[in-house]
Amino acid sequence: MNDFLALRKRALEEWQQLEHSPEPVIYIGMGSCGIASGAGRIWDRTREIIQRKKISAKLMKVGCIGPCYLEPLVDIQKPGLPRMSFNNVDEKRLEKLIPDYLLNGSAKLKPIGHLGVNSEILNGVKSIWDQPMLRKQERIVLRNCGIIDPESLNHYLAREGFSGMVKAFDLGAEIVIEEIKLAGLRGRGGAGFPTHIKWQLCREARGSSKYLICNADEGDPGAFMNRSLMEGDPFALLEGMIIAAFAIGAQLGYIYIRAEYPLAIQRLRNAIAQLHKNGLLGKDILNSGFTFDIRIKEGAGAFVCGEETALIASIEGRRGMPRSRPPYPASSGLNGCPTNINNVETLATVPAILRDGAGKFASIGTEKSKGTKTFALVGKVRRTGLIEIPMGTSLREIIYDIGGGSRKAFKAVQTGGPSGGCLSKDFLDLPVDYESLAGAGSIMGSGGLIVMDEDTCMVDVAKYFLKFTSQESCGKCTPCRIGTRQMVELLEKITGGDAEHDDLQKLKEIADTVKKGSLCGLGQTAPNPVLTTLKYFIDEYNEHVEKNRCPAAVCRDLVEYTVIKEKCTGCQRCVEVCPTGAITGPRSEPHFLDLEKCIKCRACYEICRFDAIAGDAIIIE
Amino acid sequence: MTEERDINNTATIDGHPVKVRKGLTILDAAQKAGIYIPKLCHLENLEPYGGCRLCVVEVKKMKGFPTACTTPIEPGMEILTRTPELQKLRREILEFTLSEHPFTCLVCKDKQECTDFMHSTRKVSTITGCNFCTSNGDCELQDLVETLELKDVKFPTFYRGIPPVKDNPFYDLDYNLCVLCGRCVRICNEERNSNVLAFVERGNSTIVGTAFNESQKEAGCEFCGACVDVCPTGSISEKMGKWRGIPDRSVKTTCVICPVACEMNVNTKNGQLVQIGPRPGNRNDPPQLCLRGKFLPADINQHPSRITAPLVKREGRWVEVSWKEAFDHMARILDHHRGSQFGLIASSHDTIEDNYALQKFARMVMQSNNVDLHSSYPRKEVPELLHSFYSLNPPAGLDEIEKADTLLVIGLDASCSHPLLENRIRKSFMDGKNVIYASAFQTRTSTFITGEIHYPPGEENHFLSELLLALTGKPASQTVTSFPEQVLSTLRNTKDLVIIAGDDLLRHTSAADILQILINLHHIKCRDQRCNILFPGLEGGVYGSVLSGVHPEYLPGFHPVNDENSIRKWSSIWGTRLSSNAGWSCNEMIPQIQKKGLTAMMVMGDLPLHPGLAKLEFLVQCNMFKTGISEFAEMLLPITDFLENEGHVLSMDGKLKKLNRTVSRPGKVKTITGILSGLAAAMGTTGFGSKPANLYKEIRSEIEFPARKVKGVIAGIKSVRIRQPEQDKAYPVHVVLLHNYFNYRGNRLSDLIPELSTIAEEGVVGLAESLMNLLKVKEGEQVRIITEKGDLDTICRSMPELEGQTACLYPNGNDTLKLYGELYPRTSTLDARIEKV
Repeated sequence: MNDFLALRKRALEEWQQLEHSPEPVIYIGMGSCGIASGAGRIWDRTREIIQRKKISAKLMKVGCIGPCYLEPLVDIQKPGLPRMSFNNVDEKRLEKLIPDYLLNGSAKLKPIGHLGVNSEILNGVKSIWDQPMLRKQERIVLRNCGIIDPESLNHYLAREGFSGMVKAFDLGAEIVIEEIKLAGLRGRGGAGFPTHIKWQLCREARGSSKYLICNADEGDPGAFMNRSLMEGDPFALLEGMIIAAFAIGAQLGYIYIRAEYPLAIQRLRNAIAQLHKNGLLGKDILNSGFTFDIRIKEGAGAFVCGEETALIASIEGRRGMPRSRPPYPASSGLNGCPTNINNVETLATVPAILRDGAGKFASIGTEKSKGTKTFALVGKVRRTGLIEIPMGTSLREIIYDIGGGSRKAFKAVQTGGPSGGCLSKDFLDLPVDYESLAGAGSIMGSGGLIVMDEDTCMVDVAKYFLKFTSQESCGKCTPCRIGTRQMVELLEKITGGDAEHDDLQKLKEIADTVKKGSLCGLGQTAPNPVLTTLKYFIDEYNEHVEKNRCPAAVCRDLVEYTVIKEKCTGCQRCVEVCPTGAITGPRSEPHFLDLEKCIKCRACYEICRFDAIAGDAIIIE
Repeated sequence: MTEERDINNTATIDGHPVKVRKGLTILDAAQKAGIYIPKLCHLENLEPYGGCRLCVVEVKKMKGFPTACTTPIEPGMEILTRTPELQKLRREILEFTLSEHPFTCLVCKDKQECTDFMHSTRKVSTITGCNFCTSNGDCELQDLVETLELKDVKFPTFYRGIPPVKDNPFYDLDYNLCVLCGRCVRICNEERNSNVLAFVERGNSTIVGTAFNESQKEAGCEFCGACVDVCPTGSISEKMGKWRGIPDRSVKTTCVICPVACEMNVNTKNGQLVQIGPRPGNRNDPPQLCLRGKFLPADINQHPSRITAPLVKREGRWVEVSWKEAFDHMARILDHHRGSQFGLIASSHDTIEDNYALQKFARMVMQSNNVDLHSSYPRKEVPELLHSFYSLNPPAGLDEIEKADTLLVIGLDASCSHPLLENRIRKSFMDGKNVIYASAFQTRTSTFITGEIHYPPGEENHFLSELLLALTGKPASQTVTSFPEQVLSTLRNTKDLVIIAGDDLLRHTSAADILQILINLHHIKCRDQRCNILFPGLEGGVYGSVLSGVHPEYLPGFHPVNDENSIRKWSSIWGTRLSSNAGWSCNEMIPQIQKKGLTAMMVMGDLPLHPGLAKLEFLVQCNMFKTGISEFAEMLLPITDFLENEGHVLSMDGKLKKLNRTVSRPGKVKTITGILSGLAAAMGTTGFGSKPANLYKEIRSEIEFPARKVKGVIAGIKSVRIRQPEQDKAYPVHVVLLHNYFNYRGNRLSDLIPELSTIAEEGVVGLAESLMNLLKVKEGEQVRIITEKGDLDTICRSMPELEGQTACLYPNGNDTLKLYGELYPRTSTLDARIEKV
């Protein structure tokens, strides 16, 4: 334990030095979201600028703090001042920002917030946590994301890292499980199974060796909660895994992570190496007598490998195909041994519960769904990004208060990815918890939240998800393999304007059969997008079937583009974007659209809509 | 309290109480109780799969619809199997399956008329009409449609449009008919451990295939046919029998081609062979066979060039004659060749009745001890030692191999020569048993072993003596082999050891020494542990044939001919005076032909084309085909193959296995015993006996089959002096003779079935890479192998598993004749020189 205190002391010193650094520190958000919006180039440029201008400053990589729409985010900390966050920093802005702020004292670019004491207002800049997107959040799992260097064990230790683990070792396995029970933690992978029961079953199962698996095979389209978490705070996951392994008595843990997450893999590998070096992982961790090691298994990108039995098969080197349960992994999992599988977020929540006590965690959320949940808020919403909210927050608060609503009229929100459902505006006041979402026909899922506006066709959305599940079906069981394809085909028929009267009935029947008959969760939930859209957006289906009309003007075969002469200003923007030269006309005169040439790519429509002058010049009928 | 009454031990299925036992699934319990639950992917001998979803049931207090095949039954469960909801679900799932499977043969309202009147025999992969799918009538989908009363498929149909695969000689693959039940994939991996078939692609494109889309052969297919046997649709179908219709009769018999002597089920229609495989409608637990048993017998039986009437050569041309003419003609001539001028060569692929009758004919009628097998034990001490050892310690059976904690496999590539023995070895490995493999180089078996010993080829004797010393803690000062310590400790600590000693050991120049070392090893191990030895042998029942008396120096039951008591005994049984002069072995007969010591000969099957045979005055060939040596023969008599024959064979593990007549005999084909009794009668010998049953009685009254175990007696331990290996400078390369050729009664099957050459490597020599560099040859180039006795030009290929001056020959028919100058190889390795041509 003395070792740990020494480690901790050293870490705190390093953190203090950083916070009170005599030279400026520049933090660049280098999660995948940041990198995708150009943070890599910003990093290189920053280094180049401070060299060129001979500025003595320290550069540091941090993870994603959440608001992806603000990326790339650059925080600059001057001596005596807290970190100031500058948003959407491109190379041009950077060129001015650094010399202005560091040499001239103030920058033209106004920071979006500071990371100092929350209530303080510094030079008219409020705390970043006062931003509308962050204000309603409650950050337990994401508390370190964007704050610390994810590659530094000391940063994590300085922010009370591993104190949960140390406490767990003191309490003993049984009490740890009791704490998790008191906290009311439920599986964050989607199904919401009580974590303590899983642990208890695995603990009680007989077997010479036991395994702990972290399911990091995040595959839902549009979901990146686990990715950002592993990139921004890998140590939290590892600490959670050690605690879980200690509770169930596992000797070896696997992180099953998609190979498409190279940055997360690299940061996890780095973190594991640092833990080994400091005696926090491996033989006899901190002289507790507990031995545990973690291996990383990269998945080849099969969506179905997120299903626990398929995941186990994949680790064992077999084709990722699920098998029927029982037996459950808790009694016969990896290599036939008792195995506990938890989602990334579940495990990353565990250290906080141990550290701050079950009571604190349980005080957040609803009666049956405790704590917080992270969501990837994406789609037709103003402020996209990664959020963490207390369970029970309503969809309205998430979409409007946090997300800022959609630009056009809100139509639906999709939760739970391909296994989830689409909820209409009638459900905006639905509290987000396991039971409420399930009651509405959707699921909590791992945390994808896709907002759709009136430009989204719900039939098309259902088709998109069904195509996805149909392609990602493992092919083992008949209903999923063939039923999903049958549904895709019927949806193609509907969106193609070829639907017959009884096709909707057929669609529903197939969906029911697939739901009832499929082997694993993938197949059992695959019809959800169809079933929920049929339930809440039946009018839209009827429009397609009966009137051959797509109200959102998405389904290509049902749409024709025309130029409304009275509104067209002849700005020529649509002429520029038309890939087939279907739109012609001289400047400042209404344009002409040749239907023979038009391929209905929607490019003119999109560009015209964004043009303030042209308004609704091009409409779709 | 009886179990039935114990409420804690019962569950109910559709209201019927059923007993609950650990390890039982709902499906097992239902089947026991006679309750039918529809299923498609399930097979009793495979792990539950739960893919077809047809066996869904409802269980009170359980969520959803669990599958009966995967769900363990538990006390107190209330299971419903036939609710309307379940039936609807099943029908819809079956409809899904049929939407991707041509189904006109299943739900068409004109089905009956179609079947009766509208046969189309077009061999196309698209189902053009209702017929002909190769499985029509024995299709599990048809049964399911019937039981689930499915009338129509309301979902859109989809044809996969996959080109049929016909890349191998034995079976065709039409994945348009595949329902992805996964039986083929599972049997290939779980039961056969061949690991060839897998699911490829995903989602709706999922299909059965091989890794990287290789051909079956490239992917390592062993052509065991297990996948063919379990396919519930016509997706995998046998080339030979696929269009022959639904069998009307199934008979069990025994395969004679290799010494494992597997049970096989032969399906026939109107007495004609359809295929060898499970009974129609019963794909559960099919007898496991290999290429030789599953496919080749049909190719032999149905071969277009079979001869079906006795032939006599007149003025250089073959003329059909009646059996009476044939017998009279033979009798007339053979009458002048009685005594040691007569020689008879039998085949180890024949029954013990046939072989007993043959040697009886040679000895009793022809007064000659010149009777031998094509390919017998090269040294006469071997059968003697083997027999005395087996009399006291019967060979290990497959069940003992299964029980043993450790297997020591020496000098045997069972994956080629004894696939079902190999299957057992693989299973032992998969079950976590120790499998130690001692061989000259790596083979396919090497992937299923826990320990490995390599010895230089041809030095099995040194290896074994060193092993014996190492195990007794007295390592030899200079060794040719090195033993990993883990291997030695496994062999020291085993409680139940089975040694499987390959033919390389019995064919070795020091075979007697080797046998003695093994006996010594056995003696040491048997002091405090269980130890069994199995000598699987090659080519049918060599041991059984010799035991039946086909040996120039042994009467039936291993009675030496030079022993007066034996001669007296058998003379009195057969009512004649037998010769006590030792006969000539097969190899010794050839020089005797040159010297005119041997003038007439009868051959069962075929022999390598030795020019010496031309000097014979009278050669009778009893075979199914004309072959190379027919040129020298005066008579050619058509004989049955083993499917048309009856009798017994002795398997490698000393068990008598019964052969039943399964198909009718074509034309005037006769059994060997039938020919012999006719011939004996024509030669004036009465009471020869023609019925196999009578012959069997005669054999059993005198010979113990299998040899009786004498309790507590252990074969004597003897010291063995081993010569140090010496290298012949003129012939520095060790050429190992492999055994993966296909042979039936000496007939080279790749001559008869040309497609076999696409999967069998014959006429190729594999060379160590260092040797290829030394000779400056590349893969596919010609090399000349030169031995003391002759030379052979052949194509070479690189074999990375070999080291140093080593080569492996995949012999091709007369190759061994060229290299040894003799009819059958006396050794398993040859010293040779290899040159680039």
